[in-house]
Amino acid sequence: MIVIHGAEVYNPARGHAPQPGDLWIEDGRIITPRQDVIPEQVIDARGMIIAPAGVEIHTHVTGYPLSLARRFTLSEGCRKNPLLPSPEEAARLYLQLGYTTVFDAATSPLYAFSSYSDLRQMEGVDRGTFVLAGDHHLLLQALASNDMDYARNIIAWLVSCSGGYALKLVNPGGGLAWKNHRKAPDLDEGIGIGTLTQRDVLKRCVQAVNQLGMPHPVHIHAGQLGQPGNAVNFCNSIRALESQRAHLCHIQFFSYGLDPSGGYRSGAEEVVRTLEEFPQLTCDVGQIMFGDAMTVTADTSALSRLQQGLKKPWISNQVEAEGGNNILPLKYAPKDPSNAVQWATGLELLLLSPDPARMFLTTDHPNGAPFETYPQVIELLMSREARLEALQQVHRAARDRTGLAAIEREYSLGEIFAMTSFGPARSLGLNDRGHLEPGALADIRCYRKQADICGMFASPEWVMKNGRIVYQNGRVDTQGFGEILVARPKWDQDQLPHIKSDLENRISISFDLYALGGTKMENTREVPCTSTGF
Amino acid sequence: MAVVLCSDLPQEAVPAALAFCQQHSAFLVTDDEFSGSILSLAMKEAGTLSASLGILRDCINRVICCGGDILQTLPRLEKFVPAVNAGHVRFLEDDNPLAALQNLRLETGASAANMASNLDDQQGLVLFDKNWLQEDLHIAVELLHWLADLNRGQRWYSLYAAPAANSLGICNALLSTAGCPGNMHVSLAGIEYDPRQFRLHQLINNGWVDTCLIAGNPSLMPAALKEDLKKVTTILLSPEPTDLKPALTLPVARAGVDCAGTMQRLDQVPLRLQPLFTTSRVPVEAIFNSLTGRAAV
Amino acid sequence: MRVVLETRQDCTGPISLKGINLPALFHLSQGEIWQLPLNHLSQPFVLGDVFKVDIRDSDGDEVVLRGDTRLLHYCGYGMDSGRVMVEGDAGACAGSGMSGGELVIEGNAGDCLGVAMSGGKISVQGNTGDWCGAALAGESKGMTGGVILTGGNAGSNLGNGMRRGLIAVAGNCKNYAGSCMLAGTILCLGEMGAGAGVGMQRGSLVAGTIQSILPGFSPAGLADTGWLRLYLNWLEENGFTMPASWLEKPPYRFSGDHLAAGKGEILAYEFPQ
Ligand SMILES: [Zn+2]
Repeated sequence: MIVIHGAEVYNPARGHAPQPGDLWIEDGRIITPRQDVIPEQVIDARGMIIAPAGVEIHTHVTGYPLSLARRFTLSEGCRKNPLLPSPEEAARLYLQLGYTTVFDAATSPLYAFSSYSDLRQMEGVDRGTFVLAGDHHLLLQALASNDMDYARNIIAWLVSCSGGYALKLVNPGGGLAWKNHRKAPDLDEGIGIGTLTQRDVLKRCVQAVNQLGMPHPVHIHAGQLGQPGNAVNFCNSIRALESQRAHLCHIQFFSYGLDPSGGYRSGAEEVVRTLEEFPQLTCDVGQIMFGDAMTVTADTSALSRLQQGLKKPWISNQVEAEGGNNILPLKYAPKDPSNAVQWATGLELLLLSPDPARMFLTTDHPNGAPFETYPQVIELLMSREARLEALQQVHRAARDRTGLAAIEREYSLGEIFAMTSFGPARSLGLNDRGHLEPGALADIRCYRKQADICGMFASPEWVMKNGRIVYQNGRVDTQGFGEILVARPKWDQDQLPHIKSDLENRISISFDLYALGGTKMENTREVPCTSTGF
Repeated sequence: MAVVLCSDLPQEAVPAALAFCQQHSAFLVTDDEFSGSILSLAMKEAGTLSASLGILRDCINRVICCGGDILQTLPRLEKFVPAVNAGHVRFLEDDNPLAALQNLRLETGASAANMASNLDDQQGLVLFDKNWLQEDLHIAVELLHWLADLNRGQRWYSLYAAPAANSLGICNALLSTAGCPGNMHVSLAGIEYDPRQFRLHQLINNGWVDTCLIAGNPSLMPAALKEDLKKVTTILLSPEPTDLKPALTLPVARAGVDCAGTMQRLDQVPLRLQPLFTTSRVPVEAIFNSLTGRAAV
Repeated sequence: MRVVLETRQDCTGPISLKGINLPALFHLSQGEIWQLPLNHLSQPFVLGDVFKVDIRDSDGDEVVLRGDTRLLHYCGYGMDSGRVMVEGDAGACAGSGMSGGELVIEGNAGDCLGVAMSGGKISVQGNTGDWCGAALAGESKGMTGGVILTGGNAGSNLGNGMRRGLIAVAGNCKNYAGSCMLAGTILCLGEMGAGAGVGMQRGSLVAGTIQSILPGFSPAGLADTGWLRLYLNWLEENGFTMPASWLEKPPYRFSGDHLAAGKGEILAYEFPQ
């Protein structure tokens, strides 16, 4: 039994204000304080801040696309490379930042074994991955014929056989369109299979996944990523979900208005207003920060557009029956008007969203910035002064074409913990973390109270996983900690021959070897598919 | 010490070998530098477009083979690229590949404007291996630039015909665990990558290593390098006898025969192979793990 | 002050001086120099294990490396001032990353001489290996300043990715001189090998003869030699002997590589028709 004594305790389940009091831990979980026993260990945390450990809902640290991307950073290797750390190193870096749960956002079923090999290396954190299916032939075909029963079975089978945790849609139909030399479909345009439109895919997939009771709803990367003026389409995509539960990822990249000059301006207000109509949706922001970044995406349509503009080498790999793996190195420059607007738009989204438990901090690592920049973003959210100072350093477009300068809101510490722990955990359907109620996992971060916000968040005093300190004084101890979180929605085994024959017409690999090829995963924990939404 | 990972190993060998090298401050190299460092550096310079075999099977209607004999090394290719069978194949067989590729690029540039609007159903495949490219960085870069030029007007994919079962699997596994595809020095202080200095023949001839631990069958190793290996003590962890005369040989299991293991297909799709027999042989990674564990005690 | 480091007789293995800033030795006592650890590539030595150290007063500051200097790699690595003298052959990566001062190698130099250097001067009396003045592998920018003079021949990829500065070779050089060059000048009094200037964006390659011209280059008449004359005079002052033909007629000019930015040039006094 451990007692953490004397800290300011932030428990986002009980609001944003800190509460004094001791935190009791037994067998890796939080328990109700006891009067009748003497604890074995008391951790003196006077002058400290205690909060539930961070939960990363969208990052890219594993899988085949990352090995492709590392070709662009050969001279740096991966040990000390903030953009493309090895999976093992990524887990350590997340722990050092106070995160104990990390979800990688994209696994193609065909390359699932590469993701699984990498996930196995991520000792120390609980981790999982989302399965890409927005261009999966089988799924699209089933959706086109409106055979929802078959569609549900395909989704359940795909997620299970790929060792995934949730279903991800990336610009549905966009990959297919690119392979057929067409532009990516608009929301109400046919994607080339029957009369199926992107709107149909979004709506029906969200419905199917919610019917399956999967812990995390569909993780959606919408259409028109990165295009000026895309906020209109994005708001329409949000409405297309028809009030069903879903998660929208890196929405900064979808929240642009069209400046009369043809360039970017912020569409954050419109997007936030639309999101407010649908309280069952959660989002992560995908903030960009200035400096080097690496675009890693399945959205071939969007990336080939960007690549044609930049005329820089890219690595693109198209995957049969589904989307693609695409890589393009980038640098976000503060003096570039577009980049400046993108940067300000992300902050604006975060600051305009009233409920931090529904709008989460991410940088879509490594697309917007490496995750090691989170403390800098937090400082910008918590201090208007820091924000105004930063605004002076960037192109004036950030002032002229966004509303950032006028926003007075400053996040409180409690709100930061809601947006980095409680909110993402709840969206992921992980009720055992993100808060400090009795029964919760003792995944805890501890900071020394100080005026330097960025410094405080960049170096926690210690980090606890399952009741054991895994990071302190620069030392990370990952051994024996962390599980691979999987969801295995139920599906009708009788459909297997049907799926098998449909798939074998499409792929070049024997069905038995597809995805994990029936390999039994080690060190997993199955999160039950009993979600009824919230 | 240097550890040499050969291209017939499953990717599971890589993290174990890396941990071993870290503990012993050893060099880690592969037997196939072209598939590793050289091609990776060329991709960094010029990018590349590729696709999995299923897409090539369904879309490709013309093929360019770099080098005259490349199809012989890929007997099953016709199954995946029917265009090969249909005879829509052109061969590049110039003795001076760099000049030939530059000429092609100049032609492509001139005609790109005409092709831009005419995508229709034409999709092509550029098939290459390391032979015609003479294992040369600049020629490989020029080839990938040409591919990018072709893609300004049309859709062309590339497919690299790796010389051994898992050349690319080892390369990708190294990239994912260490960040570089071989040619590195690994120690507790970190990893240093130097594809010019940390090549096996240089490590031997400059005296940086006195022992080579060769994991797998070094069938791709050039004869000259095998000569160099005679200057140092070699230990071999191989599933089968080789033409080397090592000081010590430990027979190990072969992935897909007497142990499970993951290899990558031509298009880098990972394939999990299951054992056919049960034998007493242990996989390479188990040997690395036990060496690492023993030294730690 | 003159610091002489002489390799011990029983020293037969390679030694990396990466991490040892040679000009900084002037500020250290003999004992401190002795105790400097050789960290690179996990060498289990301190400097005193492999060198005899001798410190003398002298007019200028100079570090002299002596003995079996072929074993020494990264001589003058990262040096920013002073003078380092190698009395014999140097191993690989000598002068890499240097930003100032002078490195003199009396024998031959290994591969990667002056890689990613940004200033200073390197003189080699013998031959140099591959990748002289080049970029680090995986980087695009080669040397960004300074001068490398070679009395003998040079290897392949001379000045690869070079951004600024001057490389002069009295003898011949192998393939891919000036590959992916961004700017700067490379002079080779003898013959330049195949693939010269592949991917070059700007900059000038000057050669006595050139083995072949890539298709990415196009003939552009005779060169205007005003600026070249300045370089040649300076080289003569620095001990180079100009071939008579160089002083008589202007060289032929080829512009390219048109498959890159195409603003570079190769000047050659003779070329295959
Ligand atoms: Zn993402």
